[in-house]
Amino acid sequence: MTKHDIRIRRQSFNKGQIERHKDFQKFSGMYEKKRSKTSLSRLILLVFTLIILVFAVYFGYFKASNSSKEKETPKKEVPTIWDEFEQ
Amino acid sequence: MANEGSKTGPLPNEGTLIAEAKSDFRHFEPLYDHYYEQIFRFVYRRANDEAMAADLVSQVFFKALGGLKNYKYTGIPFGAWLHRIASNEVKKYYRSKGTKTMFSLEEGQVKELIAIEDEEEKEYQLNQLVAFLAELEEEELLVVELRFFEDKGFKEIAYILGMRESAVKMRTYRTLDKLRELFKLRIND
Repeated sequence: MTKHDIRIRRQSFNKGQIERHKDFQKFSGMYEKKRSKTSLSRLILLVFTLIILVFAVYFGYFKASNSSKEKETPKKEVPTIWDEFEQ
Repeated sequence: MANEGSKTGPLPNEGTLIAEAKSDFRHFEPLYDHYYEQIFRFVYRRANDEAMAADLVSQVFFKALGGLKNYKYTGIPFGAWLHRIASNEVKKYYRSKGTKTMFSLEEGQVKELIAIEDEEEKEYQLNQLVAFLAELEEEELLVVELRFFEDKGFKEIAYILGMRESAVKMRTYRTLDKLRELFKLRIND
C-alpha cells in the first residue's frame, strides 16, 4: 500500500482550459449570495439563542420565587402530648 | 521546471490591493485574476479532474475572501496564503472522501528532468520515480511540488506549510539527495 496515488498525465493542461473557469463576476455574485445567507443564518441563530436565554431567565426566576414562597409559609406545628400539660 | 502559467510572481502593489479588497470585496478582482491560474494548476495536480479542481479553487477563493479581514500582509506574496488555503482544502477533501491523496505529474515535465537519453530507460526511471514519490510523506511531497513545480522560495514554502525555513531547507535537501542519487535527475537546489 502506497501513501499517495501518483499518476502521470500524458497531456498538459493549457491556459485556455483554465480561463474557462475563471469568472470573477460569477464568483463575486456567488460570494455575495453566500455572505447574505451566512448573515441571515447568524441572525436566526442569535434570535433563537436570545429566546432560549429569555425562557431560561424567566423559568429560573419563576422557580426561585416559588421556592422562596415555600420558605415563607410557616409550617404547621404538630401537637405533642406535652402541649396538653403546658396548657 | 514549473509550468509557464504557474511562474506567477507577486503583484507590484499587492499590499495596497489587499487593503482595498478588505474594505470592499469587489476590489479583490485583480488578486483573483492574477492568482487563479497558479492555484488552479496546484489544485488540478492533486485532483486530476477539471470539474473537481474548479470547485475546489472556488472554495479556496471563497475562504480567502472570507478570511481576508484577518490576513496580515507581511511581504510574503499573497499567493503563499492562497496556496496554504488550497493545500488545506485538498487535504480536507481527501479526508472526507477517505481515499489516498492524488498527485499527478506531467509526463513531458518529468522526462525533461531525467538525464537519460534512452527512451526505454527513461520510461523505466519515470515509473521508479512515481513509486518513490508515492512513498514520500505528505509534507515531503508538498515541499518537492512547491519547490520544483511551483518555483517557490524556501520562505514561501515555510509559510505555506507553517514550518520554519531551516526545517523546510533540510527536508528539501534530504529529499533531493535521495532523488538525485536514485534517478540521476537534473535538479538544482
